[in-house]
Amino acid sequence: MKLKNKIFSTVITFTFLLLASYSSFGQTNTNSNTKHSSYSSNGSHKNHCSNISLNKEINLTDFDSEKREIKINVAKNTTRVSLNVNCHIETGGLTIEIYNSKGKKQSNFSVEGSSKSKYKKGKGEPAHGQINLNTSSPTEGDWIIKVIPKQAIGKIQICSTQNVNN
Amino acid sequence: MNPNKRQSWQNSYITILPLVLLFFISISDLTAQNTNKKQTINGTIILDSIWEPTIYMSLIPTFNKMHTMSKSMIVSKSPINSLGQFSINIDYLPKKDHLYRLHISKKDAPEASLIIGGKEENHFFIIANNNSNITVINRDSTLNTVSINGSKQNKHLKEINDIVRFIDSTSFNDTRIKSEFITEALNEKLKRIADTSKHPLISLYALYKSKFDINTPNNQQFQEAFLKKWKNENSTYFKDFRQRYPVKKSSNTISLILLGILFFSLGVAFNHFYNSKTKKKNNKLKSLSIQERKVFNLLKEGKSNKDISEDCNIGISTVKSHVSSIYSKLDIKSRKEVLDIDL
Repeated sequence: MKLKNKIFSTVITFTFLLLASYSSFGQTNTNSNTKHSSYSSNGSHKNHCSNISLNKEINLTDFDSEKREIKINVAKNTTRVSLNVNCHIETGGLTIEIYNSKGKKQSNFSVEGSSKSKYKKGKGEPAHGQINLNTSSPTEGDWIIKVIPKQAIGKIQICSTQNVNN
Repeated sequence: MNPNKRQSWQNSYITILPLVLLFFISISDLTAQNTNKKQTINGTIILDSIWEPTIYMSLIPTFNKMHTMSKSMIVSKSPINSLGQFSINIDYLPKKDHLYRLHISKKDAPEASLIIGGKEENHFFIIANNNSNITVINRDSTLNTVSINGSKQNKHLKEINDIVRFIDSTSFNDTRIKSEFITEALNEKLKRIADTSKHPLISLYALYKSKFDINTPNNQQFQEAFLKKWKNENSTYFKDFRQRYPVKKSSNTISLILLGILFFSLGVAFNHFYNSKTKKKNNKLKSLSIQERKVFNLLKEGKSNKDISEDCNIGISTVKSHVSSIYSKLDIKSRKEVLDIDL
């Protein structure tokens, strides 16, 4: 009976911890042991991030033009935010913009791969873009990463780390 | 002339002539060397093994494209040898100064690769034309510490980049209040550079780097003065800037324009009203009989009933009857109103 209780309480504690960590990041695809990402020339990617609080991956397929906004909630006691956005585009265009919670643009870049017709002929000219943003005492609230593809095929990986002062 | 003297002149000619010829040959040689001398961007860049040993040069057509990367923007490239040396021929560049980006790519990344921020930032900007001779050297294995020699413009460009790098470092290291304070002060410094620089590209580069926001108070006035200063600049950089930040008309000008439009409309409406009234009266004149028209003309001359009676050879009562009929047909009540009618 005692053993059963122990097992039961361990399972409950584990589930609670899992849920707590899930809700505190407020994002899907969270993995505390994943690594920083980069893309190899053939488009596949390797992970080499550390201390990750968010790791989100977006695949752009079929000449994607759908705009997306990724929110990163920065808590009150956060002392540092590190954002790493890494993109590899085979064709089309992609713009990434990062805004702080006050709506002020912090960084941006655009990458343009080969045209659709060139890509279909097998003469692709891929492009790679990366932002490494590191801010101390970030503004509290929702930081937004705007992803604006234009007939794009490629991959985007977003990693963010937050240091919170307890 | 004395034959001895003549002989000595001839001898001196013979000695001097080859010397003069030699002088001209050497001068022409030097000129030829100068014209053959290739304009280059060269230098030494120490790199880690993660980087591909090739340096790429891209043309940045507008400041808005500083953070845009595509293969079509790359205009030249050069291998970097085992000693880190490279040389890019720039003879074919335009005569006028343009902004260029030099970048390197990681071994597993495509040629068109842009990394912004951090130690791995893989690019830097230079200003060059077909007559530039620029030397680039980095002190460590990053491009953050690159020094650019060979032109005044690039020295100023580096000063601006150093300020921007300092702003970034305060954002990285200091508290928010301190960072915001320093950022504001340094952005003002960049604006001052934009204001005082005599080189159009440096001036505009500093303004872009100051995170110029047209909606901030006083910036509108600054922008007007800035555009006035560079009104003769027709490069793509300034065309893009003018398109992106058109000068807003001040509220006073707008209200004056609105007032003008209002008065013009009122004038048009009044004119239309007056004309229609006159037209109506003229139409009514057509309804008068021949005798009434004759009486009407005499009334317009200011003649009395008696005068009209004598002129028309009719009785005064007939004149009165005509006048009454004219009044009712023209919808008027006095002789004064007759005088006011334009024919």
